[in-house]
Amino acid sequence: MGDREEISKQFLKAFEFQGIRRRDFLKFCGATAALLGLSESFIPKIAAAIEKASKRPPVVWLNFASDSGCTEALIKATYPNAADLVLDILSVDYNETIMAAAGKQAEEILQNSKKAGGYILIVEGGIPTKKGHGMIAGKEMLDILKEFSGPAAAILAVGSCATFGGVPSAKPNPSQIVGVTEALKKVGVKKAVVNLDLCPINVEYLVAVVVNYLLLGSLPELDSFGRPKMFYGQTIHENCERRANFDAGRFVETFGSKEEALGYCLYKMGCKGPMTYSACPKVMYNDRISWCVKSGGPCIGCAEHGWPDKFAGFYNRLPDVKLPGIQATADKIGAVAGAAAVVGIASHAIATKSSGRGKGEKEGGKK
Amino acid sequence: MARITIDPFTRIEGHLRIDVEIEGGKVKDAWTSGTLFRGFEIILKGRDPRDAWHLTQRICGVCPTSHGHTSSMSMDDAFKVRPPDNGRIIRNIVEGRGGLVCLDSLKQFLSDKLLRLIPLPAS
Repeated sequence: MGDREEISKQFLKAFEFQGIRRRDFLKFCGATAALLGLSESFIPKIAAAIEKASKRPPVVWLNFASDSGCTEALIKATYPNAADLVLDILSVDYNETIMAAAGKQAEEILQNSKKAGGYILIVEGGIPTKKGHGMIAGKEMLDILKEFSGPAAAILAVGSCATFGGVPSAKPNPSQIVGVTEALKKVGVKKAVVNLDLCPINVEYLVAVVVNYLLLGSLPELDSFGRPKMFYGQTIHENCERRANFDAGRFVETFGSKEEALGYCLYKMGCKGPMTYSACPKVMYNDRISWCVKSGGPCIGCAEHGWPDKFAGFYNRLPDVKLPGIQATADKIGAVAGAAAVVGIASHAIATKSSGRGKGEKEGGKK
Repeated sequence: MARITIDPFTRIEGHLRIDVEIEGGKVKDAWTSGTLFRGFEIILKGRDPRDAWHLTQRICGVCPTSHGHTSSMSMDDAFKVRPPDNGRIIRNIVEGRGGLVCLDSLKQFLSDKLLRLIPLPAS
């Protein structure tokens, strides 16, 4: 796979130095190509784009009203090793959580990046719009965002807080926290924002978007919420590894039960998979070892606009789904497989409708 | 009397400012201020208590486990229940793993912990 000539020896040596073999690197490029929905023929091009990036396009990573969980996700990324490296290649000039400098030195670095311009601005955390509720170096976070969004080449909002406010913006939203898109609207900056919603961000999404940008010089196709369609195009329910249990009407009714040990569907335990759009079941977390549902936790819907309030009562199951002409719910149908599958389709259709997506898609065809 | 202000104070979760007053080569007084307010206590009021541990974990992304764990423990108190032995052991394993962030990844150790040991020129 791939063309050996596309990647220079010097570049590969740099990888080898970090303990990453050429094969692993190409494997990573292949995984990224798959994430981006590109064919295998793109693998050498991805490799070349990453190599070019070794000229270090600067990244400014601003932390606002966040818990630094996305930064942690970034520095803990173990799969693929090369993903780590791509972000090493990108020169992360400013990131409060991991940078060595502090105080004035840190501010100087930030100002220098601004002067140079053309950086990729990654924003972690929501923006408090109440005065005095979020300050860095004596400046309001909203003003800092305004200052640094102008010279940026691209703006990525990572994590639920930066996209739509996330947990700190939950009712009653004490600091009036908003996401980047809304904050930019407030300060009158017109720029496209890529929203990578999830709590915390899946680093593989971030890497794929960055590679996409390096490869094509453009941002990926976005949905109505500004999220890349390649990751947020399908519900968790659609790709869930426990989906067969849902279709067959096999549900976990209480935690600690035999059904739970057998890995049955978590819909009745409050799983928000049917209403949550993300590629979690495919990409997973932590070295692609596991993700929430695989480890036995019902999805809490952290990839969705309006989370957590939208899904408050994480363990309450989504409302009963009734089909026209059929007076039945998941409870009444019990283990009658065929009928449960019908409920599945209906809940899917409703999820699609209520979240305002799936326009023009024939969702009813999913069986 | 000299006054040193370090803002932002980096390599921590959140936003911190340190002010130090120095007199005759000695620290006379010092202040720390958290410069971000999110109000988790206010947000948690009136919610389904079972949601609490999900939300409190988001207080800190470096040590989410401890916040989730203590939230579960306070719920045990509120409902006057005790977790079964296996439950307690699982909690402790999760807490132990979460607490050992230093060993979690070499890179994190390097970026979060080791850099603290390097003396930086006074800012």
